Amino acid sequence: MTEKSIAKQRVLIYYPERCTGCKYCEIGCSLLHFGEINLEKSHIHALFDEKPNKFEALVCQHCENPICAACCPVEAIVVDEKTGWVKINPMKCIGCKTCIYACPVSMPWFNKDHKIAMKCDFCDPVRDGKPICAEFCSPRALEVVTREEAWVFFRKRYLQGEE
Amino acid sequence: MKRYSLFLGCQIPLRIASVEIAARKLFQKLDVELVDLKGYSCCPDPVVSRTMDRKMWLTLSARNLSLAEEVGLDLVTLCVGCYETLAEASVILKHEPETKEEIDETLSRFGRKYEGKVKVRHFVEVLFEDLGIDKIKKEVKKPLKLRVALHYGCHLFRSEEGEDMWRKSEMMRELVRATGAEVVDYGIERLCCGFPSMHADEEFSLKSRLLPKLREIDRAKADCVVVVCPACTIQFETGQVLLRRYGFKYNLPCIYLSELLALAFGIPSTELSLDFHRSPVLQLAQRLE
Amino acid sequence: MGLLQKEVSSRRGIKTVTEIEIAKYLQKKLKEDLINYSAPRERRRYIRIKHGALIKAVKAFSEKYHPRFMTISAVDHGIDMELLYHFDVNGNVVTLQTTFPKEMNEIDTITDLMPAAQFIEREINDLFGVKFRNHPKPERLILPRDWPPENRPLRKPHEGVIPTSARLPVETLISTGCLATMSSYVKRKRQKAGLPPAPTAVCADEKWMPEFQKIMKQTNFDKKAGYDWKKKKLRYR
Repeated sequence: MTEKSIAKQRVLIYYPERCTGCKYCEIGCSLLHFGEINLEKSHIHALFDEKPNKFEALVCQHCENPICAACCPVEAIVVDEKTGWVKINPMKCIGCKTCIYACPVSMPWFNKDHKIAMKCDFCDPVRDGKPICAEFCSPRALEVVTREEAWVFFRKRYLQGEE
Repeated sequence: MKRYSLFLGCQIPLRIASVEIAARKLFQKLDVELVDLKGYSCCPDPVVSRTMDRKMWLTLSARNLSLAEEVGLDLVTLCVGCYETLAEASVILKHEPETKEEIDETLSRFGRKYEGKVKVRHFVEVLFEDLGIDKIKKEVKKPLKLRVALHYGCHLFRSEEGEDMWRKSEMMRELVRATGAEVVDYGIERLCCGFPSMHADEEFSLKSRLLPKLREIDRAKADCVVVVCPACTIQFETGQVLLRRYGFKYNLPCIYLSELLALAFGIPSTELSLDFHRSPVLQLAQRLE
Repeated sequence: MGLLQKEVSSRRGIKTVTEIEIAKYLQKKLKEDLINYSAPRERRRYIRIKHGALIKAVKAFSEKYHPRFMTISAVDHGIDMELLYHFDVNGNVVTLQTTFPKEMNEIDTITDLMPAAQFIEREINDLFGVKFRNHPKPERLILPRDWPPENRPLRKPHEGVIPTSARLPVETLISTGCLATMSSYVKRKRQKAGLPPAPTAVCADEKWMPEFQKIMKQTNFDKKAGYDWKKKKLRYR
């Protein structure tokens, strides 16, 4: 895996100034992966807080050096060589929840029916790596971009403070 | 005379027909002919049908678009949900030729074909771009002395790749101002009304989406809220009734853009059957006369 | 074809057959009762048949090729039940697949043709609750004696794929072509306002319903959603 090939991998970014808080991303994710409309069974979370009047979303960044993969005691979390997507193997997971605590934004969630941890799999292979949350988002607050573009986006926003 | 094919959808003609009446009358005054599509079906809806069976979703959309192609007129929709489905389907069919081949094969068994020749427009675009704000202003015979709050709705922000998401919402704002009404800002215009999450979690949808909107609109002292989506209309109207169960009493009229324009054009409220609404829209209109 | 296989088959005196022959022969015998067939790997063939033609298929198959009956697998699809009958023809595995609605819940036994099927059919009855018509000894096989008879451990609830909140809209969509129904109140008000009583939609005019229904059947959405055309309802609600 060269640096160039990592830069071309696809990830999701989120624009809070475009989000309307409609939850279509959560509805689509739970409908696709679990066949039911349940906001608690979604891999992505879009939130709105009245008091500061701000939108924010918890989107898995599929980190290059994922803490979840590093901390898993049974090595159930693997990073795909080519695509860079981080996935939990449901057969190996023992439900210890270490990944949920280790992740900086607590992206994985504990599925009480199967008693394992689950996380965003970039809709691969169920939709060939075309996330349904990005497709359902009407104002395009969720976009699929290359890692390179995502680095530029985050740098501008969170390190340099520009919108 | 400008001509368009009209796509009504299921919700407006079957649940709030006053929107259709107002739209037909106002387009008549603007000298626009609306041709009804014979045998159209539900668009189908852009959430459940799309996830459950993408092929069926594309086939029904393509069939509806082929009906417009048969009459050779661009399609105008009154509902943003129909706009989202039909616009997305035409973009997908343009970029995925193998899927289009399968759909073409199915449609040809019924003697229909879709070639991507018609454009899908929402009526806000047609009023602002094709007819122009000056023409609208000329037709306004009774400027409305109202303070209105705008609720754009989530699907109104759907636009082409690379386009500004605020394009159609700015048009909606200008159209409302052209009626003479005063647009009142309340801070959370962008927030969703809560209709999608009603199926998932009713209490969350009412208390965390609808209630803040009603509270802020009330605080800004608006007389009513203007919407462009039948789902938002249903959410505002039945949602206010449901909120009384939780102890919140609101009675805000929720009026559709076509009805607001029809009233501004001088069409009397008796001709508009505003009693289809479950919020005090008729009383609001009568107060203006 | 390996050396061992040639020796074995020459000793048996049976001609070795390829999978294509079997499928073509059954197609000739069953005609439209055979839905389709596939061969994902070497020496592995799946043949899908209609549930009413099971006895006919097994009879025709066994008369010509004398297969060794291996076992039956059962898959519970929520609203349908699928049974897979596995046979061995000289080292080639041929499987007859058949699906039947859970409301029907019974199928013919093949015990008179394949005596060894007796035990696996009793096990499937124990675990899934499927009845086998004319079974010679329909007794409990593996469940304990005091197990409650209504409790079938591997049988799933009668549920389809459409989520609960979307069931009524999907049913209305397939039956009428629109997501909502027209009430007579709305018809009267529309007429009073000077509009035609119904919009020019599929749901309002019988003329376009056949085309719409054919499209539903063509895209297989009616089967996927589990729609019953006679009752005009989803099979689970």
